[in-house]
Amino acid sequence: MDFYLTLQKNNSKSGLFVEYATIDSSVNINQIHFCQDVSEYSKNFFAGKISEAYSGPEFSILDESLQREFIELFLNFGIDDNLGSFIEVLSVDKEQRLYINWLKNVINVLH
Amino acid sequence: MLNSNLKRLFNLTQRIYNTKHNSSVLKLIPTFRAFSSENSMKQKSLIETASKELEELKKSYEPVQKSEKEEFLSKNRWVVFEYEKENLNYVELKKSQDEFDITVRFAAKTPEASSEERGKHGMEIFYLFI
Repeated sequence: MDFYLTLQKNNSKSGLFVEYATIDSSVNINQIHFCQDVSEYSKNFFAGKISEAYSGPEFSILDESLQREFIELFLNFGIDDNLGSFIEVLSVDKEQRLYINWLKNVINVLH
Repeated sequence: MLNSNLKRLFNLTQRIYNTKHNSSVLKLIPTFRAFSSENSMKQKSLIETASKELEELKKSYEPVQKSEKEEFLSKNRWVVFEYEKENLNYVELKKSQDEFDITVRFAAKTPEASSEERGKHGMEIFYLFI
């Protein structure tokens, strides 16, 4: 499943927006975007607005040493397989709560 | 004479219209009743099925234990945002580290498992890795 990391230096608008995917709880980077304004970029991204700015190559075609360095840095921030497993569990748990609530609302409408 | 004929013709047309109109309305009433009754049955049946599903879920759902969740979060210094707001379909984890503000965002995910397995699926993954 997909998840997103934003990394923003304190007191700065610019930063990185990283697209991740978990496969059996292991975390994999898909793409690293540089953004002048991380908040604005994330907002547009989640609203489905495609940015025309250059957003960097796919992670898998980056030089291997550069890939390793990025992975190491993000591991240091706690973006590891344990987090991947936690995300997978929490996302299902969250959906379960939403689903129960939706069922209750549907029943209430029809009653 | 002309006026009188016109009057008769008007009355005749009016009678035909009224008769047709009333009869078609009368014919429709039982149909509406049938639809209404059928819809009510369908509605009742849907409520029963949905309520049954809800009860089953409440029995089978094993929420992530608050203590386990909090242990993981505090160990890794994450703070959960908007998790309890039921109307939002995403979750955010935030923390500050080494002069960086870090946010992780992910959406709620529908389990691939069937209704009976809902809720259990996630816990199995959790126990594998924690």
